[in-house]
Amino acid sequence: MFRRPPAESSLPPRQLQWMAMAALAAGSVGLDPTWLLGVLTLALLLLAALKLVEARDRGGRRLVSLLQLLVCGLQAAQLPDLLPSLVQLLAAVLSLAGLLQLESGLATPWRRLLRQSLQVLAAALPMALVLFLLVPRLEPLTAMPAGPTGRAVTGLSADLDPGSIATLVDDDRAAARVAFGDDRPPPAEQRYWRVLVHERFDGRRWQRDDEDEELLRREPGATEADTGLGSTPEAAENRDQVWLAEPSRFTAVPWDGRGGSADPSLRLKPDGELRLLRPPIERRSYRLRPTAAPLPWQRRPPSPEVLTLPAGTNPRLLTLGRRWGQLPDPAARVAAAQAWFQAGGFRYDRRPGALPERNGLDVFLFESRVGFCGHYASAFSALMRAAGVPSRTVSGYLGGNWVVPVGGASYLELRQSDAHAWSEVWLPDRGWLRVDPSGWATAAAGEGPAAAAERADTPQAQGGWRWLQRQWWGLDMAWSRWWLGFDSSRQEALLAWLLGGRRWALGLVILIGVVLGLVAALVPWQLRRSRPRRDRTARDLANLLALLRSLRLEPEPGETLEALCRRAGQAYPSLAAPLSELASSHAQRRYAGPHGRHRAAQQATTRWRRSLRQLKQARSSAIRQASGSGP
Amino acid sequence: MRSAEGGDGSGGTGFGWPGRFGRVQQGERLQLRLRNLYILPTSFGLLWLGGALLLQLVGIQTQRNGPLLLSFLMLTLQLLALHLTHCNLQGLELECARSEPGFAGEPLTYPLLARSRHARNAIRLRLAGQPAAVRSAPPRRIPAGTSSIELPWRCDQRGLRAPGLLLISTTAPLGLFVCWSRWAPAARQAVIPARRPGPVGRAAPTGTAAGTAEAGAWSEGSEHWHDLRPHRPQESQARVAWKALAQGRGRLSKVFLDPVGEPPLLMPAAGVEPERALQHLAAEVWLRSRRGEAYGLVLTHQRVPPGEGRQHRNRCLLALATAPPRTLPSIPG
Amino acid sequence: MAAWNDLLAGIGRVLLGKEHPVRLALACLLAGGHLLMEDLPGTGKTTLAEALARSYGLAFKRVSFTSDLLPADLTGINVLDPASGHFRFQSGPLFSQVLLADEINRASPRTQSALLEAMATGRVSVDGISHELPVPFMVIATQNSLDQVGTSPLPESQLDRFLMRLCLGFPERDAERALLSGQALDLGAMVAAGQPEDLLSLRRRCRQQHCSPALIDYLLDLVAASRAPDRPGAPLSPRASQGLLAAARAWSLLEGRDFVTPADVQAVFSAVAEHRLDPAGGGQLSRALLETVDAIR
Repeated sequence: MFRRPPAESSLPPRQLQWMAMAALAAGSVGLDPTWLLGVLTLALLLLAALKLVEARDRGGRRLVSLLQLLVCGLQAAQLPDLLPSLVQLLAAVLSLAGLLQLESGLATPWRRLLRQSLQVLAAALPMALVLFLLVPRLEPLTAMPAGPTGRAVTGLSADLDPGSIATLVDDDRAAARVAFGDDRPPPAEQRYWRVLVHERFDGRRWQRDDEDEELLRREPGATEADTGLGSTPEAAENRDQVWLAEPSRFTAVPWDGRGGSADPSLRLKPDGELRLLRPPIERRSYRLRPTAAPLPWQRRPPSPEVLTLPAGTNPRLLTLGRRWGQLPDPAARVAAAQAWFQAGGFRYDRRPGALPERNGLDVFLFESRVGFCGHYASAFSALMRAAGVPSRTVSGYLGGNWVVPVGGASYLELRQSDAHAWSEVWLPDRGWLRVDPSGWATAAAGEGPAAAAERADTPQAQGGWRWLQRQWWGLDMAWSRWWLGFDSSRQEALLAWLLGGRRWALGLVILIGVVLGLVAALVPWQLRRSRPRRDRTARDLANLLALLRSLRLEPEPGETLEALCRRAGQAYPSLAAPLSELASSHAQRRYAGPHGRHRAAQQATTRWRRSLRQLKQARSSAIRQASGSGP
Repeated sequence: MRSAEGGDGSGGTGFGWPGRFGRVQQGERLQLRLRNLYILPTSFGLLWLGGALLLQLVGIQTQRNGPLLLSFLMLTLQLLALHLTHCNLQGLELECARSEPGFAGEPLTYPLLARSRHARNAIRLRLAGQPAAVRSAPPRRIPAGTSSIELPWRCDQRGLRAPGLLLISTTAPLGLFVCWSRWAPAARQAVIPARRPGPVGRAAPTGTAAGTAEAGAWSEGSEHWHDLRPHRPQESQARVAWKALAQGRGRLSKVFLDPVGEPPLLMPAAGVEPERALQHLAAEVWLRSRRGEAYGLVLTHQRVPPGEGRQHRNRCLLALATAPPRTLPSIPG
Repeated sequence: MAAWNDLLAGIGRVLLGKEHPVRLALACLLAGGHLLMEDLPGTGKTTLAEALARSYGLAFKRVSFTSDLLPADLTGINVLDPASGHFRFQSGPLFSQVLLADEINRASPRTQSALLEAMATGRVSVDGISHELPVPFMVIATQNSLDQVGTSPLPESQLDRFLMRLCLGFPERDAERALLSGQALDLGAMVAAGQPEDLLSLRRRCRQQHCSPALIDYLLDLVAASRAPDRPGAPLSPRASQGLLAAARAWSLLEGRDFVTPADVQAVFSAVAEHRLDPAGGGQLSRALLETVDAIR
């Protein structure tokens, strides 16, 4: 028969470990249960909880704490943002306190345990930081499987189909945030943040390559040119960008089309989409560094696809485009289109009404002439293709709101309402060039891209909740810049600064750092333990005894303070009164009960101070007398 | 003396590593220092190391700082725990204290004095070769300064006995390492023969020949009822023999006698197996001292003159404990 | 604290020149302990006992212990009532509030242990029926320390049951002069400070005197010092440390404080500890112990 062993009698209660468990459960909220790592984390958490329920000996309870720390680490791998990190820190401190409690006996109060665990953490932290900063980072051993894409999220859509949208919904949710190394926002005309590139056109909608096709793993033959984001030398101006992208449907993330990065999980597609190989349903953060030279995607010759126009659709558009196609210079064709749009009386409107299924662009160009960015980008790119200029549409964000929070880092805030679409054309001598045809339309007040850029930096009076959110995001941004920003390239820079070319010394430096950290941790520990803690009353008492010693009055063995003071008073009658007062106020402070303690203790302390002052005065006169009368 | 390794306890479930390795220190005092302390990771410590490496792997794989930092933190905590666990024992001084005699087969306490400059948590003191209930004593806290420790133990044989191998170990603060020292405290505790009521011999006051217990004179007193005599009015009512009164024999007073003369000298009973005779003597001495009676003791190696009180009792019991085996006096018929 | 001073002055006028022992005896009464007095005859033991009893109007009885004193003489017996034909319990002198057991060492061990058992349990058992002793109940036993012939001194284990042992000793010259010149007050003229109920409430207050951790540490250090291996004398038992604390509390109440200080412990220490450390001792061991422990803290 299997029988459970009897519970160890001296085990402390489980509350502390349950509290750690609760913190871990709270920290698991953002986990994705369809991702392998997420499943693993939740399974470990469950295992730890079950173990905690059944553990009856010290070993089992210890194991619970270890499992909790593991769960904590796994959570940190998936949820690196500020709030989850704080929860994870709390969980780690609690589980460490639970571990300490197992050894320090039943009677130790929680506050002492928490303080001890913070002390232990603080003692270990310097060494851990040395290792963390200096031990060289390894590349991932294998590519992580991508996360799921199943969750419904708002934002950009894979197809650009303006004709089917009658009214543009104002979605005010956050899309992304970006902070810059020098805390200055980019000029308004540069705030085009590209996300998706649509190259395939079926006459009505613009489509992009499927996510499935993407190069999730680096092909064996792939070179830096394919990904295009080699580690670039530190740019002269410190315009590092730290991005925080909200969950979306795509691995493609917003960027300015010019940054570089050493992050191995960032991949640049040939068409200029930047993809981050992380589950898109998490909040993702990445770091870009500006480069001086144009990136390869801008110079990459167009594929034949970017000239295809389905036959038989939008005949009037085709005719117009072919007419411009007779101009020899592609740049002149673009200019002609611009002139045509600007002269055509186009109006920017967020509620243009739906276009017919067939020849929708014809209707927009030649009849309604009312639309939003999608209409203009779509129509202009189609016209350029008809004119023989390779073109495509790009969707992303325009503008953004520059937020300067009270604490934390300033950042540019992109919301879903900042979504925008524009065109790109290929000019043989200049590569891919951004053209935003929406700007050619006349816009009602407060609408259109120009208005968006204007709106960007004006402070808006929006409720306290939004303000709070922004403050928090500022902190979050600072955290991301500082915490997520430390990657292997940063580490390389740090090592280069620290060691120069002497990389062989790295091991020695780490060793010295760890030893120093250990000494720094252990020496105060030992000192504190070897010196008993003394409270104020004890210090005051020591002062008084020192004073009496200076009068050559040592306490006799076993003598009480009252007796000593009486003896001293007999030896120096002028000191008798303050001394007896001192003895009685000391007794009051040291031995009196807690009832009415506050006032009485304060009175006793005041009495002590006053008497000590009197004693010092009397003493100096007594010494004078003694020396005066002495031989 | 019983061998420490011989019992069922050493190397058993409760001990693990520390039960087997390390030189056994001898003497009445033990100062724990670098030379006599041993330290090894516990199995939990090895698991912890594995956990830290796992987190390292996760950190590398996900390129995230959180798991990396936590993993380094766990590694440095382990490094720190190595020293903290060692410091928890280092500098502790243990010394044998004056022990009280105890009876064989009953719970004994072996006193130690601990001297420490600071308080120490979760120190386990376990005696090898003791039953499981004694062995699994909870870890104790040793306060700063001098404190006394009482080790529970049992011994089934009388004599001056040392408790055998003492294992001092700790895993505080994190349970990652176990630090231990092994010590055989030299001070021996007097273990008195188990109390077993039975016949005891009596020696004549001269101590040479055996006498009978009933010899001796009596005087009027309050101990033993002796006789009746006619009641006198000035006598206390407590002396009236109520039974006789009820039987119609008139008012009679009880007369009591106290034994007078030399208190008995106890000695091992004749014809009883020597060890067993000592056990009977232990029971008798205990009983008489409980009753506050005076008695003496005659053994081959020692003769305790009659007396009473705690110190006298202890002297007698000590004499019983230290009686040399097999040379007890043989009593004729 | 005028009441104390009045009371102490009252007893002091009956018993001249004995302020400290009188104070200790009063502390013993407040702490609810029993008192052992060891002295030569004629030093005022009986007077002190009776004065204590009168201070709170307690019922006082005196028994001279002799070798033929039976336990039943103390506890009382079941007497046949000829009228009804039933036995009726006739209580002995134990059923008082202050019992003076004069020359306790003259009684046989059996009688002594009957008394000590009643002191410890607060009840007596006669023929299988137990009878509660009155409350408060205090035994003041006296022992003649010189005349030991034909006596049974109290065994060490029984000495522990007395909270304090006092030696009155000879009065000082001035006090004896006052005694001779008839300045001592007659016992009958003593005024009681209160009723027995007042004493009980004082005992409750006494138990509430505050003992700070620092004081408990001091007390524990004293007790631990007595248990050090190479120290002469028997170690102090936990009962001794409890008694020490109770006595120090009573002393601090007499001092007019509501908390206990090491000075209170020192004041009662010799009386409480000496007879436990060394039954024949005259105070040297307890004084030596006090000197080993630092009282300034």
